[in-house]
Amino acid sequence: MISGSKARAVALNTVLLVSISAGMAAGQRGALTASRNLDDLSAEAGVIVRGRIVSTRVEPHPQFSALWTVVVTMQVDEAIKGQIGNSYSFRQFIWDPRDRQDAAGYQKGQRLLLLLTAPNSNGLSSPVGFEQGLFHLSTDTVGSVYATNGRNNVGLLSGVASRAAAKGIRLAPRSEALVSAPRQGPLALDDLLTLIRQLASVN
Amino acid sequence: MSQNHSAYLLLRRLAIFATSLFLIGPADLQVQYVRAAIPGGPIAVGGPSFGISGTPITWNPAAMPIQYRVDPGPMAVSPFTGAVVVDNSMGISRVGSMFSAWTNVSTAGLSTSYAGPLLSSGAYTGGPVAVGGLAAFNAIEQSCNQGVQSPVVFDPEGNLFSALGLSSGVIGFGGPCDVDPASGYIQSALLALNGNFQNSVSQISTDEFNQAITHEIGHFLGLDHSQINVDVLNQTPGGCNLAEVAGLPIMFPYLICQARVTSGYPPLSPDDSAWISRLYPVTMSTAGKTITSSAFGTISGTIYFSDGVTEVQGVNVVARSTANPLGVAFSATSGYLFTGNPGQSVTCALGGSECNTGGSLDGSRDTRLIGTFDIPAVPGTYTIQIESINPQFAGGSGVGPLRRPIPMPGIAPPAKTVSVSAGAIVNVAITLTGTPPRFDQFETSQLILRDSLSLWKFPKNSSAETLTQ
Repeated sequence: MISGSKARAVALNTVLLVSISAGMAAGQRGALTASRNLDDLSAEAGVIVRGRIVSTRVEPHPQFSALWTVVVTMQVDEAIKGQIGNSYSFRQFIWDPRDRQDAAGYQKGQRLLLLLTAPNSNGLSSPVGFEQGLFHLSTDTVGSVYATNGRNNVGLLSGVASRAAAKGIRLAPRSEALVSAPRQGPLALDDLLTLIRQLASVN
Repeated sequence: MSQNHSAYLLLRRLAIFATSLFLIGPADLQVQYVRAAIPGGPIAVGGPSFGISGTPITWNPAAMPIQYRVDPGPMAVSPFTGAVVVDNSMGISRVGSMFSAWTNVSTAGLSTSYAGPLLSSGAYTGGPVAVGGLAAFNAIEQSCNQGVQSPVVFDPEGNLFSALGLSSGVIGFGGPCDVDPASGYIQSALLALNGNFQNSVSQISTDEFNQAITHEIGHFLGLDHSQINVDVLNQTPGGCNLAEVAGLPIMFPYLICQARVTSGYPPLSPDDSAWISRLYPVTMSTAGKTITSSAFGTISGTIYFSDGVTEVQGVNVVARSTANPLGVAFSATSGYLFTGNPGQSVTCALGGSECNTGGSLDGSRDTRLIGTFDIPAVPGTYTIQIESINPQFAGGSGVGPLRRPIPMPGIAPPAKTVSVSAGAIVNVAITLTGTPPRFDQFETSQLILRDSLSLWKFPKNSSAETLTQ
């Protein structure tokens, strides 16, 4: 016989396991990108959005039919940069046939922070630096949210302190501490957003 | 049936479902074909109905040279002055040199040749592709998808990359366009180079640019990523430990260290040379080439859970030379010939909208290949190191047969030392210690249930069998 508390434990662990799996975001195949720090990423991004993927669709570009694309639609929790509403869709070029099969790693339900290029005249955009501008969000046991990009945040904060200083940005003490001793690994989402807002306000 | 038993059955289904997610990930439930990224090896492996099961996807070795065609425009132009920085002939020469980095491997039986400028195709009627914009690129892509030609596209000012919605940091992209599903041979591939990295806009050194494009050519030729000296991720970008750069594969997923050539090393690491030789072995005496089996041996084996029976997928195995452990190292991931997504019918049976009954098209379903590895290595003495694939090496940066890597279960046993001779196979079995109960997609649901529940700290006397009674 299985007790109610045990049943809840199993169910909870099941949900946690699903959440962990669903949280993994993947970059696009077959490209190499130069390292970019957060200032670079924030400056080049035309849209910075936090939210949850509600659908993905792989289809040829409506005008250029040999170019395959993935159309990702997000429910927006927060728009940090760019004029966007409660829902935001972007269309990304995918050249690798394998990316057609799994929507380049985008999945319904993923919670992401995306720093995207502004949609161009062909309606195309992508995360700045691919895996570098794509952060997956995870929640720890006490509810704190963390952001990790496709490089485990390696190099993300390198050189940001000097950039901020050059731009006359006075960073909050907590941000100052983060950028003065950059390290890899998950960053508290609030800390990351604070930094992005400060950098984006000048860029 | 009691209410508790009904609840139990539901939970059992959830447990099995969750376990399957742990193995293959939810994205894989949505698709019928997910590639297996194979470290330091083939970009894909044949499956039951795609190529030859268990055989790497490569170009046809009997149809060499691989012919590529090049954009007739300049490789890099200054957007500030309009001056040509790298003209077409120099661009062709540099691309040729990058291909040669692979074809010059004396133990690799492949060759490539420049077949001339791009063929006209649809809206592309000749001239620099970038001048024709996205319409021209679309036509070139179409010809590649149809296996008509293998194009090398120059984007001298980055305008094409921008028109494709790519950010300024993308140095280049490439890979196979068309694969014959019967033979598993690559029919065509594409390579695109962003000239902004050579025209002072986003300048990187010539060595770094060449290394990035040579990496993409590795994909073009059918190679995938490799994980060796992963500790460089903890080092200063561009200032990595020189000793580790020596063994750092050009097929490492990220461009994060200084270029190998800048560091005084040849363009390819020992692992790169070994794997291109494994995919394209030299089997007969040929001028300028060495018979592969006379220069390489193989370290083969299987990784097991603590039970010594169940094989473990997705563990990175690195053979390090005892004489030069950081500089001479070769790798493979366990289960590299087996599919990363065998499929399952649980979600369909539960009425879910996302079915994955057939799994991936690629990768063998021969269960004898689960957990196995084969590492090509030059003769010498090696220690065998095993490790997890870096968790960030997923999807496009993937390493290993699992689309999303898992932490290596348990603890690695003490490293074994083996001696490799040319043409010989050394067998190594590695059993992890202290692993959780075994789990894989071929276990019965009761085993999955029992192990899953014990993992989740159920009392030991509450086994699946007793719970069902």
